[in-house]
Amino acid sequence: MTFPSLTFALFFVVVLGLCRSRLSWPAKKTVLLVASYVFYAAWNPPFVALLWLSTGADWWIAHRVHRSDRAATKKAYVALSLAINLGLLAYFKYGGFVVENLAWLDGAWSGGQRHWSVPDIVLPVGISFYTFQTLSYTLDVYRGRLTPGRSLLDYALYVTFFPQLVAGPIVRAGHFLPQAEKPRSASRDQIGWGFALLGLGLFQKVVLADALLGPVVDVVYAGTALPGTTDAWAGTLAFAGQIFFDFSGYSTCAIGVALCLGFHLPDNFRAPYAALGFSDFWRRWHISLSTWLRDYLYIPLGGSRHGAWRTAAALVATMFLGGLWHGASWTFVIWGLLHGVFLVVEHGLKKAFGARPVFATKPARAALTGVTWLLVTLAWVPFVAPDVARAKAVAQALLGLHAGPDRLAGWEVSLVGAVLLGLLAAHRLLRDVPLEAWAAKVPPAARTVMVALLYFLVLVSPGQERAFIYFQF
Amino acid sequence: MPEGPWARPVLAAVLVCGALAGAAEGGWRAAGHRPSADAEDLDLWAIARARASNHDVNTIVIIGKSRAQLDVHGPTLRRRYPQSTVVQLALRGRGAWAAFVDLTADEAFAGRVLWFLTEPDLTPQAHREQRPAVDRVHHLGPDGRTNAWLRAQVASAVTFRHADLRPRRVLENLARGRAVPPHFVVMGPDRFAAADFDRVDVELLRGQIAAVHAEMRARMAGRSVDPARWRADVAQVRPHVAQLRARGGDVVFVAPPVSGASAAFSEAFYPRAAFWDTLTGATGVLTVHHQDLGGPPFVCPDTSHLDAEDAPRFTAALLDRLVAMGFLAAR
Repeated sequence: MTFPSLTFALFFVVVLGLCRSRLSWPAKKTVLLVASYVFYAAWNPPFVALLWLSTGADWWIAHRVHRSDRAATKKAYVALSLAINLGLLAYFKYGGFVVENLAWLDGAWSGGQRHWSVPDIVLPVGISFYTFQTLSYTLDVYRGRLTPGRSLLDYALYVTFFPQLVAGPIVRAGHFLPQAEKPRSASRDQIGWGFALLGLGLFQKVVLADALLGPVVDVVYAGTALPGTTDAWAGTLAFAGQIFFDFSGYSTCAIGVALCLGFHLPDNFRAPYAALGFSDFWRRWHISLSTWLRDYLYIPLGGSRHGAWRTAAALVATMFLGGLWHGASWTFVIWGLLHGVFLVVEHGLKKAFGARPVFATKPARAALTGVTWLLVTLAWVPFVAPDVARAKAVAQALLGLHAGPDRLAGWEVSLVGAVLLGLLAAHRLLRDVPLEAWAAKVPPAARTVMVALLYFLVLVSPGQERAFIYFQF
Repeated sequence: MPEGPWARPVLAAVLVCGALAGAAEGGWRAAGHRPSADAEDLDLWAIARARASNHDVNTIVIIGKSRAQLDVHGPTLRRRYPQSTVVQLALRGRGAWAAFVDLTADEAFAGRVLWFLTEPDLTPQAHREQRPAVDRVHHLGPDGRTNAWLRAQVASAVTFRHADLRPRRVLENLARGRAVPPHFVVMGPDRFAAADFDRVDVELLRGQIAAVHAEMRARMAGRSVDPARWRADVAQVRPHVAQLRARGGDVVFVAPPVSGASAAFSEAFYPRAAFWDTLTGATGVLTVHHQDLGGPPFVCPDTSHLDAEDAPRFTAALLDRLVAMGFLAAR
């Protein structure tokens, strides 16, 4: 089920009604849990079993880890959790990719005498998100940061809570479980703000990402013809906007829907295209994933505690795996490695020149923000391209090498420019000011007009809903 | 959350949004637009396709391109065969080979297929054209099916959900300094559609079709199609037909009406005697050509599709012919 669908609208009305009824708190939580399974099963019912497996396994393992006194036993249980969760990911997400690459290696080595059949494995939606949540639960218990709770219902709801189940934000147990313990009910104003956020998220997804920018991206990246230079730039800029509006739109919807139900989810985006440097970018883009990778990968790999080379290696390894998390394709690996290199270079430059006063001046900060955005945007090329060959073709077209004829009309290029300028201006505005602080200044009449326009534009933007881009991860 | 009231402003926003939607509906209708389901909605195609998997030899399925959609009058078909499940699977601009192969491979399908086609639709170049729609059938979950159905119901009721009136299309027309022209085709949630050529600039449509012909002529570069090679290509359909017949189903090839420039183009590249009339010999499948239906000839206003006024007559004549051939039971 996706937020922009009519089925979700009906589903949410029913769930919200039940959560506003006089049911007891445990009954409401049960309603939410069942609703979450329905939400997930609506896509492909059998895969709910995977959700149960991941939930049950880490619930049991975390309690075993907590009860055990021996370090070796604790480690063995953690290894079991890793094997189950990463095993699920490895099979469903990377099975086909591994076989494909083995077949390629075999072909290169032996001339392709053997026949390899690449399995056609359906990727369960959201598996990358909920396995990271259950894994973090066990790891937090292992590290002594969390005591496993007594309520399986609360824990199952933490793993399955439908607003964030399939595409995040990746919530930590320490953030969610305390909210599930005490009865919660959203105030009328909270519900109003929740619906305002839902409208904003839907507008980003349905109008900006799907209706306006998506078709431009398709012309450049989904086609097989060589793109022209203008098209390549327009398509790449359009994707920079599309991926932000798509994913940020989903997160905003999730936060709004959760708020209507009385739950608070963490922010996942904070004006990332106004980031000053790549470390800053990753503090603003997909925050729940980048902090997860920081806490459970980068820091255990040594973080910045063991000198420049070890830090660089940890950064590149983290971003490599972060890239691979997005999908089983070399294009995502290239994207991750590019960001790893960006971070390493930034660390080096900061050490060498960061203390110079010139870098604290407004023009220098603006220039560095611009450079960050440009490099982040160019790094989207391998991310969006269906394969390395297409990424190479678009990259060459961006540089004016081997470019084909331009196909996009002038108005489409202007449209991309206008939307991107609006996006960058909004990010500049919200760089240091949270959305909530900005919204608090808006007078009530203007709130009505803005929310009405958001929903109206969503309403008049029909089309087959494109799945959220992050559903495939 | 931000301070201040949010409940009342958002409640007021719902009312304002409703008023805006009402104004938009009135405005579009005043400009000549009508509600219609989206002909390109592959999810809707997929739920229609799923209805054909019912083990019933009386099921009637129509496949082909836009002619199969506009020339067949759904109510006439249903009136004649009220006990049959009637499924409309035509897709604009895409040859139906992939849909036919999918139907023949489906053990749960045992019905009758009316395949509207032109000669190039049976060649390997067209084999994958409807593949994306077929793939959708096998990957659409319960949510996707429900949602496509709901979407089609809403789009058939309100104009502002018309696929042609999405913001991008409006902006595109604005950039060209014109309003969005009303669409002449209205499709229902059952995917049967009707064309009202009184609502459109017919000369403009003829010009567009002539441009497509010119492009195809340029691609052919004076070469003609080799009938023997074509017969070998179309014979590839034989095993699929046999598979369907083994379950009690069957297929008929229908040459839908064309006139004017489209008829001349067809005759120039695929002369009937050398191509269409050899189709049964090459494939073992019965054929119906619109010229053989009797009565006054059918005239296509844009040279390629029938108007809604003529579709019932064509459908009735076609059904009579299919009954006479023994392909459909007499009703």
